[in-house]
Amino acid sequence: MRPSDDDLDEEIRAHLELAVRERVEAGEDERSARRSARREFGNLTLTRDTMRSVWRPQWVDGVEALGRDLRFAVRSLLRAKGLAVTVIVTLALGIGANAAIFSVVSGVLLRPLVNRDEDRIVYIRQSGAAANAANLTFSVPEVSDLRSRVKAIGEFGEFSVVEFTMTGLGVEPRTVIAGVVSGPFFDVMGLRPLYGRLLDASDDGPKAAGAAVLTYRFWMTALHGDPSVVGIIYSTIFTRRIALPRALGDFPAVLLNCYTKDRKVNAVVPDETAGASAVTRYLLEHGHRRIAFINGEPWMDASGDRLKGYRHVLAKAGIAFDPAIVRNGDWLPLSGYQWTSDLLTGERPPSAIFCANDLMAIGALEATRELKLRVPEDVSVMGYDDQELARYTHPPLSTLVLPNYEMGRRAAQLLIEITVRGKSVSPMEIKIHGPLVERASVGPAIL
Amino acid sequence: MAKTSTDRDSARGMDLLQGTLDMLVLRTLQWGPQHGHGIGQAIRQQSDGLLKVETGSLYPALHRLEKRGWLKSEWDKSDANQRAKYYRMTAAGKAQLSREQDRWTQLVQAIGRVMNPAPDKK
Repeated sequence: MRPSDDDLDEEIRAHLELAVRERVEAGEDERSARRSARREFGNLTLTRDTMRSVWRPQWVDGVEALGRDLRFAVRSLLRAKGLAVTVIVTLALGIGANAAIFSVVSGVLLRPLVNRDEDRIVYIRQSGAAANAANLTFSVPEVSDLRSRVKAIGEFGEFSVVEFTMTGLGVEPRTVIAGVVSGPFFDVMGLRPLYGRLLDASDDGPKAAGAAVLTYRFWMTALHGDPSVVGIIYSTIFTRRIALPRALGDFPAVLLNCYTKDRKVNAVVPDETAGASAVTRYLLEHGHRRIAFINGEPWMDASGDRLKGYRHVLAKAGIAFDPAIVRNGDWLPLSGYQWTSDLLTGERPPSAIFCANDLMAIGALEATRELKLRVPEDVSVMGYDDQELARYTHPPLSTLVLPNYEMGRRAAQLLIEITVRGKSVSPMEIKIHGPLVERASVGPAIL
Repeated sequence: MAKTSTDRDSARGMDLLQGTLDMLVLRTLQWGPQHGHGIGQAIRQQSDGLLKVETGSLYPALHRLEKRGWLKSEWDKSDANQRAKYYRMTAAGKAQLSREQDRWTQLVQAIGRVMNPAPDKK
């Protein structure tokens, strides 16, 4: 049953009495026992409120908090009357936000406001007593609601904090705390860049290229205040065509693992066609005539080019392309496993299976084990990429090196030639292919 | 939400895993009705002083458990003739304790397997 407030007070009092008594019995004098018990208890009011809130239906908390927030909002707006531009900064400090983060925010974000009319800027945050959070993140729909309905406000700048790991600066990867902002944020805050440009509305939206603004401190400490950014290597995670990011501006750039439609920017990409050709040729040399190919997702450049290489070499060897033994996987072990089981238990099973990456090849090895087939005595398996784990499979996986390191080296070399040595280079696409690594998963075909 | 603090004169002590306080309270009440102070002391003693439950966490937890119907409370006199609110586990509380205990055993085993994997286990 729900206890009365008196009951809660009584319970706390009883607790203190019991604690005092215990201390007195242990030899402490009563005055000091009382002091210690009280200190040990901590915040009386907070504890009682929390006890009480347990019994309250949750919506009551929400309504109370909303009332508080509304009062605060109205007061803030009144104080800033006549405002033409009011600014809202949402701080998504999240649960567990602590004083350290907050001091960063006030030091880095709020102090520069002396340059701008501080009294026309409102900081909006929301709390939720029911969720026990003083500063809750705004969701995207909430922000768009504010944007569309609050007419008194000229512009919104959103701000939230995200942490990520940055590599490539010196020896150690380091954790960087970054603010994620909406396009108008810098304008709203009245900030000007020391060098380069700030973000604006054109940096918003799903199609915008990634761009970052460095704080002065980060620039000085991590980049040693070097203003001479002479060029940029722009790289993507998987090989694809890109629209040239506006953020690259007029900097000389070398694209790494990506390229533009017009091929007018220097690019270094892996030569997938040559790689898949080398693998297919290698299998042919071992007497294989029926070579299955488990490809990656067909919409990706890498898959298309690898398929091209495979088909080209088969055609040159006079072997008809058989779509029945070419499958599209999803680069993960399970798809390699499934397609291999399927191929090896089907009609006219292949004597060799070429997987478009090592992960699917690992799935393939597992499938052969289950079918009690030996690799490479009964069936040969080939990977692609030469990931580190290819060395530790059973048997160790023969594969082809995806030349990441070499690609990076060539991109850097090209950029240095253009920018530092001043060499004029007509735009080119450099295709790099890696060596084949012979381990133990490919053997002669059984005739 | 549950927090513990280290015994002042001991360098040892650890934070309570989230969600374990309810289980510890229920477990303590298995031996019979007890008041809040007694529950806190029992957890502390049973853990050789490693776990010290703060009152600010303990009392709200007791009320939460009571609201869910796992505990029932009653004012009574202590052995030393002091008034105190005694908590007693209900049948539903017993069922909950056994659920939590299962979950806890599974969790410990799962974490153990990750932290100390048996070598060469197929």
